[in-house]
Amino acid sequence: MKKLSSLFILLVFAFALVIPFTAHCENPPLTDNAGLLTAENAEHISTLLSEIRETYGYDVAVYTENDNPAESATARADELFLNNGYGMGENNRGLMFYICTGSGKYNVVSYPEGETVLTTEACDYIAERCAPYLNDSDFYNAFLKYYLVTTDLFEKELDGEEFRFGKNPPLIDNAGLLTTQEFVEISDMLYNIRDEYDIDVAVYTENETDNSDAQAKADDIYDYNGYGMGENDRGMIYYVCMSTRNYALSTYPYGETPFSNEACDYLGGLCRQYLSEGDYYSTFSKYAETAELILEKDAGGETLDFDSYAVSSSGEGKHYIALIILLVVIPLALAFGLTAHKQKKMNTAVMQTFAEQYKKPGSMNIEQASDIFLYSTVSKTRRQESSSGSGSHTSSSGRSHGGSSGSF
Amino acid sequence: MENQNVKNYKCPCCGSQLFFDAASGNLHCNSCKNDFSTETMQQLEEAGAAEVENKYDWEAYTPREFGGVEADGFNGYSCPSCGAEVIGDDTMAATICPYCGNSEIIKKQFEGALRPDLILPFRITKEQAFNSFELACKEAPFLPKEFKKNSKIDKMTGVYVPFWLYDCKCRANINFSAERVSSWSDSKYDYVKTDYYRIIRAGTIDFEKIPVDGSKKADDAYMDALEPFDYSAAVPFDPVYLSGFLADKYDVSEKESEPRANSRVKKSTEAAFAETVRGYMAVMPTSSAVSFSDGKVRYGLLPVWMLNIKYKDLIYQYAINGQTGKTVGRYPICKRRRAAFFSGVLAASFAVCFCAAKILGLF
Repeated sequence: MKKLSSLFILLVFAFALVIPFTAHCENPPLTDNAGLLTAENAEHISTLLSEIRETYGYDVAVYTENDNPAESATARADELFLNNGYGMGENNRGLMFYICTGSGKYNVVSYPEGETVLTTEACDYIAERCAPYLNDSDFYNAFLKYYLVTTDLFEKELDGEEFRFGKNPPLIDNAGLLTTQEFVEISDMLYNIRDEYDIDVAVYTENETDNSDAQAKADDIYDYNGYGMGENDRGMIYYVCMSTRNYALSTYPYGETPFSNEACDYLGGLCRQYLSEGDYYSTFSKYAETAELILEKDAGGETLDFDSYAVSSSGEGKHYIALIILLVVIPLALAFGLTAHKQKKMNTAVMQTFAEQYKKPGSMNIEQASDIFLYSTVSKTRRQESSSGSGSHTSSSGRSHGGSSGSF
Repeated sequence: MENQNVKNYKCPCCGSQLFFDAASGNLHCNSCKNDFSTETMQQLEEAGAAEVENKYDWEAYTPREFGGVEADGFNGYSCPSCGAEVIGDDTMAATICPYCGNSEIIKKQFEGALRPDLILPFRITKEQAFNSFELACKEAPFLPKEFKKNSKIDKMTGVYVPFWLYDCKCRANINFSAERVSSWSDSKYDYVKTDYYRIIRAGTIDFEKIPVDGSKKADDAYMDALEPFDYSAAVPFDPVYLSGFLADKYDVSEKESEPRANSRVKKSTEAAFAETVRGYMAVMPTSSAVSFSDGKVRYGLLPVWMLNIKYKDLIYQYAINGQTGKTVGRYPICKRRRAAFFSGVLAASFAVCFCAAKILGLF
């Protein structure tokens, strides 16, 4: 009996050892053959990716190299993942972030395809979030982003939350108005809005345009590039063209989003002051913040009061200036003015300039009174264009949009 | 070949030469690109031809001396403190210098005074004048409380101040530039149209008895501020009106006083003509030609009560119109009272603005 129980304990112990062994991956999560990271950064990224393995049981890996022997990045990623022992669990599930510096291609692929929560859409989303850093060759931050976004998705899965991916990145800066860091910050804000409110709040900038009508251009970008979230493609886009110095906000569907024409007028006006000054980061961050505030109010059954909000949000600097004028300048001016007025009464000996009281009454005789017209000048200034409160308009796709436009 | 004079017009806007444009039939300025009709330029030329230079034509004043009998009743007085020279009759008992308050003025022989053409007798008594002064003190907001303790009625002196009185017929030709602005909008633009005009006014206006004080001792600002005087009460000079009062002798001639009169007449004429230019947004005088004719000068004595008060080692002088009681002068300022007023206004306006800021939601 003793021998039997000892054998049983030994078998259980051996089994306990085997399971972790079989679950453990053979490969390090980070293979940086292209030498994109320093040793310190590589160690940090490795640690983070190992945490994902331990926490979520997913093999989230990164593989970089200079030359790709396969036909495509996807083929190479498949080959590496399947033949090199990546994957965890019964299904060898995992995610591979592959970068080839020689071809400049990268890919994010999940395995087994279609059998994990990391769908193709999710993989495209992850790649999209990392793209700004990749474009800037900031690989450390790109991989950091990879870790953060993937972790976020796994957390959502554990919480039973729905994944909300748009068809496009919410921020497209073809005009190059933002630095990488600014781009990522504003992108994150817009992604969060998508995720939380299931509505697209997007920004699109460009230097040149084929359509001088900014409102029509914004509508077309929205309609033909797959913007919008949910069944009804709900959302708003903020379009800026640098060559024409026009901007437009386009919302869809008209009347079915919290972004009314009044809201668009307000957003346009609020952001234009920064746009005119060339402060693009403030322009788009204000746009994102205020859009989120509008959505937050709408979720609570309220509407943002644009008149009172304008006082507190149209630049903290202007707010303080108004306070200083009201509490310092006006009282001082009144005090000085009234005191000076009173002090004038302390000296009543004042020279007379005129002799009005010595005119002989009725003696004035105008012998010649000519008003001769010389010439005229006419000046004109362009009016600001706005579509405030004027209802919907139909885009070239036939869809009914709301919005507002103007120039800066 | 007959010589012909070629007439050249100058642009009224920039002064460049105008050229005739056959296509439009107007005169064109190559410099500022404006066009003018020939009728407009003819009007401007006619208006310009009427301009004359400023000319002030005052008749020379013929002074009159006191007769022997009249002079017998007068004494001269000289103030050793300020140098004032005044005259008074034998009824003057104790005499105080009207310009510095010195009570030790020296009696001397009457001489050097002209006989005035007219005199405005005193209408208010010393007591009434003093009451006017006290009322005026109440309206001085920062007057030190202890100041009025130093004001004594017996320090008040009635003095006839010599004035030159000018009458004239004034002819003026004044040009103005004026603008009329209109605005409108269409769907794309806001428009502002400005019409420019040359305004010409010419005519005459009469003035009478413009006063300029003829005494160096009498402060011009004080004498100006005492106006107006009621000339309907003016009477031909009679020494009886001087009884009990001092009379200052003139030491500023009518010639020396003329520029002051000229300036007041010119400014009043320009102002009177400018008032006839109506319906424009901005009216600016561009040229002014004023000439006087029938200029007449008279010498008169106008009544003034003078009071000098010493306060903190300074003499403060006050003049009261001997007809109307109007009081003028410079009052000492109590800095404490002024600071208290300033602080009070500051605190009150701050409180109001604070509430306004709260209501506006600025914080």
